[in-house]
Amino acid sequence: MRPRSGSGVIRQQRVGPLPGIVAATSSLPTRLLDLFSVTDTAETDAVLADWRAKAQEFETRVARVVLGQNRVIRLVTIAIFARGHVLLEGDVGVGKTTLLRAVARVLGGAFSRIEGTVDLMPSDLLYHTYLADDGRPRVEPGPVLRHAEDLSIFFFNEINRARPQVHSLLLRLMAERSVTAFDRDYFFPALQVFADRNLVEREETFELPAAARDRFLMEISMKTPSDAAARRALIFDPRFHDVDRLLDEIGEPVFDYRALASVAELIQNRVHASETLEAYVAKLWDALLDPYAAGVVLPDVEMRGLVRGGASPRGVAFLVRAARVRAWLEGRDALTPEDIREIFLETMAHRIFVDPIYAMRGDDIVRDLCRAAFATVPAP
Amino acid sequence: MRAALFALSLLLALAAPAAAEVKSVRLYADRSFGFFVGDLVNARLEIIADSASRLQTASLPRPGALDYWLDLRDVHVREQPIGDGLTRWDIELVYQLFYVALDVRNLQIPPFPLRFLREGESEIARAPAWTIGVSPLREVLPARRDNPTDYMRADRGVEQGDATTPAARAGIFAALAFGALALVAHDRGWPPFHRRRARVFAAAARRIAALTKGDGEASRRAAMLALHRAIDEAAGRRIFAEDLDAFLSSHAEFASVKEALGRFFNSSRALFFGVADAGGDLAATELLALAKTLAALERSVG
Repeated sequence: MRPRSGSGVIRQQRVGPLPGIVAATSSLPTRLLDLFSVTDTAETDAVLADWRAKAQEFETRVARVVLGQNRVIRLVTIAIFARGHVLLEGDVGVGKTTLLRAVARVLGGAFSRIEGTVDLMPSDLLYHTYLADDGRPRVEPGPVLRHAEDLSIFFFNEINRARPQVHSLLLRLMAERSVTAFDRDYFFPALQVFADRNLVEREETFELPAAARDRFLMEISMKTPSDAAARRALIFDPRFHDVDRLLDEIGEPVFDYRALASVAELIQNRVHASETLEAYVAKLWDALLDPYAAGVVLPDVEMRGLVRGGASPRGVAFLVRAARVRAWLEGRDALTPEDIREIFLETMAHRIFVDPIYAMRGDDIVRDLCRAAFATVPAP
Repeated sequence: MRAALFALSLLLALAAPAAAEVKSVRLYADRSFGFFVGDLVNARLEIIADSASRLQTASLPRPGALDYWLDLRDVHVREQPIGDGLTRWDIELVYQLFYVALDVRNLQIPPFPLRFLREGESEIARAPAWTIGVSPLREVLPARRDNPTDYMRADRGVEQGDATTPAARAGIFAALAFGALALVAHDRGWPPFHRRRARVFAAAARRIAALTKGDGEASRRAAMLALHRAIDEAAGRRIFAEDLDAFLSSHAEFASVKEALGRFFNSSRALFFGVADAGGDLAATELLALAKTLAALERSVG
């Protein structure tokens, strides 16, 4: 995968793998890596219960570092076990990057990170070019390719600062978990893309295209913690002032990231949806596609023709996928409407596009629409 | 129109050039005598001319004082075609007399010219001068009185107004106002139009009682659904099992049946969503009892 280099010197990488992680993950029991061989229901339940405990441990560890964001952490956990990509958005300094770095630590595996800038080009993600000591130009794998199959988390900071060319490369990376570089295809079976964007600046930013947003499983909005004790701790506790040292407190990864795909598969197969629930989700979907016909009413909004697009089948499939993980985390083997509702805004709101006449009202109208749909559609 | 005028009608001999198209100028007045100080004198000047002619409104006399004893109060012009290519202009004039006459005498209302334009040429039509007879209001030498105020006439007595019409109007408007108030009250739901909160649980209990008579899975599901819908309606939104605490905190009257409601939601989860081990299957009689209890609690809040 690497072109021959005369000197064989690999330049220091922009972001190296986290020390100690590979060693730690390799020591995990290998039984979990072979989950597809698990066929017995009782054994499946035992494995899933085991992983639920790990997921709770994961949440606890992250919550120790990121205060007052329990719901966001829960959603990120759901995204990890649903194998979906996550876009975090929020104000500057609420802890988006800290959360993602903490998640990367606890998750293990190789971690790569890039900062979105206006002059970032797609090739910058794939290739690292430089002049070697002997004065010759070198092309080496860039942030995405460097760890190849081991890459578990690709963290795209300030994604809306990158140009649409970069977004389109990311699109393929997210949808197919593969890219073409050095004249061959690279596959990333364990890859999960985390991106963040802040919504404060509008200068020199590029709005993510709808197709790119649709490929994110969730768009999680992160706000300043509302809990007074957490707020005080964040201000006065020196622990939270040095992020690097804070992240060191997390310790070793809780589970093997390579097993996640199999566990996710198990969860999806094990958690079942009843006919009533299927009908409920279908009715919810109808209510979003044509709120007027479904009798959903918002004050001051003309409901006829309000929804212009979105709410794609992929979106609804993502929704159920995430809801199954939530049901599993709650210790259930069946989906309930609460599971759907809990993750609905984060998985669906960014896929729904309303009449441009309401553009000035931002995302609020979509959120209100979703809430109104839940208040209207009966379940069971 | 003062059609039945009795007074004077003057026809002016039209000593105009051949191009003149003003056919006639006539003046009609109510009467030519018997005016006192302060009286209004109405007159109508009627001019018939070719329809192609245009009256120059600037040439009309302006309301205002014409003399020390005469004001022009109002001038009003009406134009009306009368056929045969002719048009009639009616100029209503209202004068007011301020002449304090000591004897009966005639005064002359002054004449005035009116300008008509026809095909770029102008023509003057003259309103005639006319005289009115004015009379004194009082004696020149009244009989002597000791008290000077006796020269004054007594004040007019207080008029007895007729209250029938205003009373009728007041009645009509009061009725209208009351009707409007009733409409507003109906719209806003003020008493007596405020509707009592629908007793959703009472209706649900009746429905469940009817459904539990039937034996079978379908009627059992329908009975569960009926209670679900009643809870939804009471809350104003859809209540799921996890919302039970929130529902009870906003509807504290049902707090006493929290445990039974919890069982209801659990068995609903098991029934509709296949959640295993949800804890307890709610029997049909228990469901009916729960609905009846809820209905009673609902009645207790009114």
